Amino acid sequence: MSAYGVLLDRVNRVPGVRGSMVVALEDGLMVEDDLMVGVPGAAVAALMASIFRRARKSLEGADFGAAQLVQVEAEEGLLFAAAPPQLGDLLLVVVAESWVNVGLVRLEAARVVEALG
Amino acid sequence: MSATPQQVRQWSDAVAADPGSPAFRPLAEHYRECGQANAALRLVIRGLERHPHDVEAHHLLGVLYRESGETTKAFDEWDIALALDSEHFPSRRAIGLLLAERGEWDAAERHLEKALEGDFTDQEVRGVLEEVHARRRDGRGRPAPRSASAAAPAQTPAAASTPVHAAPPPPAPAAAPASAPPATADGWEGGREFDVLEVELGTLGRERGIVGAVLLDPQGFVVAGRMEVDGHDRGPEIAAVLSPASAEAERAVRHLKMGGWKGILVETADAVVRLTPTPDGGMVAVAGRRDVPMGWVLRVAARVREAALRFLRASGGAP
Repeated sequence: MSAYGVLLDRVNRVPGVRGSMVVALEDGLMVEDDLMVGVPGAAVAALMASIFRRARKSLEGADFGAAQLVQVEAEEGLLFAAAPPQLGDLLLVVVAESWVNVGLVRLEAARVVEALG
Repeated sequence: MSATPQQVRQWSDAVAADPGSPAFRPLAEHYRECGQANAALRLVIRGLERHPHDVEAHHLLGVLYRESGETTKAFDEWDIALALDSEHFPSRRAIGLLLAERGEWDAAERHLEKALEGDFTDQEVRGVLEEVHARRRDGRGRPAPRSASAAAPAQTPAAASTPVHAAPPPPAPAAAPASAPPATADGWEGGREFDVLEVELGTLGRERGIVGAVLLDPQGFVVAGRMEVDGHDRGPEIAAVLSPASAEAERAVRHLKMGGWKGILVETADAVVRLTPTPDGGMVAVAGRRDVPMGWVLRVAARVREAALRFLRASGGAP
């Protein structure tokens, strides 16, 4: 299993997570994915990368610094994209149920990303 | 000056042979001048895919969007042009005039004064700037009815290479929805609700660790509130760029059959920005510093949204 695969596998163990991906920030293409059947990974990857780029541009323009994490909350789910420095120009994108423990997802992602670095 | 048939043919041949050819811009401008806005739009969008850092192309795309009445997209493109080149006066001028049309006096003044540095003889900018100064003296930032001259289709600013002759009037501000009381000679009758909202957002925006709070209309313009960073109100910039993110978020959650979107949270090393939708299609944005707990920022954001909902209900903008 690749280093990214290990990262995704650990994040996916958090209850409520429906899958995760490593996505290229610039073009929104999936680099590695581990998703439940039925999750349209390519579309989510493209949309989350786009939202992330927009957020980054906006906040940098307003002197708030570079966006590191974007979380989109919906009535029945949650999307999460993080750009840790260890991943370079890649994003970690997580698709989860609305009842997921967000803190746990973030903690697990941070731990694994740290190990990657 | 109109292009000669020979020039048009050369540009067309160049673009046909190589879609990445820089000839896309003069060709698009030619189409625009001929009234073929859709063809011009397609050319510029395709050209920008190959030349994403072409400042003039972003400006031209902004002009095309402005002419088709898509002011949020126009703002976005001019904003990108300025991000690429902060000295691009035509985009600065265009954004300033657009903000003035929308009653964003503070931001309009900032942009127009800079635009004037590029051309001190620009009578239109001078005239609008005088009106902006007068508006700011009359009442700070309140959405007010536009004067006859300002409400008339304004000439959209453009570079010398991209003159604009007739731009459509901007849509009405969301702060004064169709069901809201009509404007009067003395001012907008919904002013009392607006004043209450301004006070509430001002108070919440000064809570511990909070940078600011703003209510945005469906087009991404600030209705009320401020978001100050280093003494500058960054609300309009954040609003213009982040507002379309809500549409993208909606698309993403729809794709996943997750129901409606409830909010977006963006974190940087220094700040947390929380966006939540309002029933009129707009949203509230609250920014907090990272040195306060995120739960606190979310709590303040919820209170800001409640204040916004009260305003929208009182002014007829929400059920």
